[in-house]
Amino acid sequence: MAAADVDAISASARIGKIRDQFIVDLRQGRIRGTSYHVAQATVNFMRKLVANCKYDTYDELLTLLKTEGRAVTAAEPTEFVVGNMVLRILKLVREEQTRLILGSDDVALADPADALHKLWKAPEVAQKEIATKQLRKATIETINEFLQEMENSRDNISSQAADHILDGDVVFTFGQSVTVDAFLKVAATKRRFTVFIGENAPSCNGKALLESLKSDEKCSWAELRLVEDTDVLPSMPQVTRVVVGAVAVLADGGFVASAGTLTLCLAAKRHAIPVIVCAAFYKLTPKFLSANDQEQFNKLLSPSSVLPFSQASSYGGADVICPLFDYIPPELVTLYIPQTFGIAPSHVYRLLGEYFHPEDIEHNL
Amino acid sequence: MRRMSLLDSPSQGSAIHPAFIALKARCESREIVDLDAICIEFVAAFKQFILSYNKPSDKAMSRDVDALIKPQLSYITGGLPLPLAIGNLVKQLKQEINALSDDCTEEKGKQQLTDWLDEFVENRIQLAFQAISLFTRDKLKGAHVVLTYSWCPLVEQTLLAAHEDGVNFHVCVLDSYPCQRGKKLLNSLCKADISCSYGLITSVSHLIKQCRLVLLGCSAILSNGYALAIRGSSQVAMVAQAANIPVLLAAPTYKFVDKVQTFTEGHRSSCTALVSERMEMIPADLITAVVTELRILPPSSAPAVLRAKQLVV
Repeated sequence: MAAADVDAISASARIGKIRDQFIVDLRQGRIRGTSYHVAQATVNFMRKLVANCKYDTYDELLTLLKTEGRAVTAAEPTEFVVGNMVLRILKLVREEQTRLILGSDDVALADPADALHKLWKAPEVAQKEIATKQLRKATIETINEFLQEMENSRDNISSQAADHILDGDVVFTFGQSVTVDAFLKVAATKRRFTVFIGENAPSCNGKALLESLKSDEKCSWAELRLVEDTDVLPSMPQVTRVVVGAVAVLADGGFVASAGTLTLCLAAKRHAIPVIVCAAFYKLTPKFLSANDQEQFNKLLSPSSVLPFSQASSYGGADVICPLFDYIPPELVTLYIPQTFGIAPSHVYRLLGEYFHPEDIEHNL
Repeated sequence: MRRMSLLDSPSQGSAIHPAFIALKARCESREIVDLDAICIEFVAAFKQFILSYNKPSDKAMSRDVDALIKPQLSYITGGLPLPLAIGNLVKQLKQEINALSDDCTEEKGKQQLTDWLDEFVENRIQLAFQAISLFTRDKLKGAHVVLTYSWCPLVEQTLLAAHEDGVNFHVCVLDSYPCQRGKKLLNSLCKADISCSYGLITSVSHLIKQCRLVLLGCSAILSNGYALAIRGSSQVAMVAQAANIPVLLAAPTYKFVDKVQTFTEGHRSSCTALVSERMEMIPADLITAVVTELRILPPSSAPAVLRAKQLVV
């Protein structure tokens, strides 16, 4: 009895350690750079749980992942990718279990949530027991496959580039997005077009994108031009396409992107120019937000890049702000390009149904 | 130093009046940057020019002064067009000069012209500013939070005056790299203890939600209702319109110009001595109303203002 207690304590301590390490890494910005890295780190964290923790049944595993997943999601609520990946892994685990029980690939048949018309013939899946070892092995395999899929997503997105950009186009993008960078470069191997890049002060990461595009020898650009943040609307008449990246694609078909993107999308709408959003599936977020929910999606950066602290005394009472993100409503988006094929914003909800289990989403919201 | 070197410059010849040389030097060194201040200084320089004029006995004053003005103007602008509002002023001044009768004496002519110039500054700029402040104050009363972009002296004066009159409001100041001219406005608002927020133009969508009114300055209103303003203004107006926030433009009638344009000239439109910032057109449909000293008008009423003020060519 005592030995079992010690076991339980050490198991929960082990889980706690894995979780705390992940949260600390996340908060201290040790998971560098892009949403891809954050997504990858989250999936790795979930895989560690599956591999190292103790559970006897499928239900125990699901409960474990749910509890831990909820804890890390709550730790960084504006980092949507973390929550998305937790939900995605939960869905994969659920699918894996039904597959093990049924021994077939017809998962849709097994899960009544996937196909309403099959509800009446949903088999009783929960009753069959699966060996823990088998469950662990199969789940980890699925997660590994998923990681591979994630790794390929950027290539899969950019491989569609030439379908959306034509010779002689003038493409406007804003700031720097790794996905857009790859997308444009692949397009430029087949097409010759001009790129306008919004500077995106105060970080001015548009310059970084410009340098990156310029330095690629495989691409021949008609022109690369850095556009000041004030010149977005005046230069719109020359533009034929807007291509931007996203931080999160939301359930209503809207998206979250660098501050300043809303201005670009409104300008595009005003001039009836298509807006293409490149976003890998891990950015798909089952949440409904609007511009009024700033605190739920936005981050405020240090104002020192807007007004240096050395000048603070001249602007005593002023509240200097430097928001990181904008919310862009679905009516301003023409097309999303995830890794498979382009979808309209009105179709995003279907993808959500495919990627996540409704029961998990319900708890998440 | 700069003034001296310009005075010494032999290529300019002696025909240029020192008042204009001084004005150009001060504009070029960006000592004065806003259009209203330049306009007032321009009038002052013109007054000095007219006062130091000596009428030759064999010429009529109207034609002689008219001929003398040309080199002065082309010196000031360096061959480029004058800012629209100042061009308007020059046009009206020339009308005044041409209206001088042939037998007009030097003293009487000078008196008439300087009176006209004094009246212009008093009525069309100083009193107009006060009237616009009063009209805008009533709008600020219900607004609580107002957003503005960059720095316009008229907007600054309006906000400070309304605060002094006890109107309570919060100001969001938007600004842009590299000049960050809005810092000037922020500084004077902070000094007056007005509560402010400050951010770059990319933060517009974050700030616009809390705002109830957008108040912008401009340097000209064209007869098709389009407005010439500092780069970035049209974007701010566009985002405001998308958020259903009214956009007011503060513009004294001397900035109304009988000219039409529908586009912003590309990257060629650079700065001149008298224009220190790059400008752009704000389309009329993004402007809710223009606050003039006459009243608050829709931009489509620009031709009516031109007619009322006899600015039509």
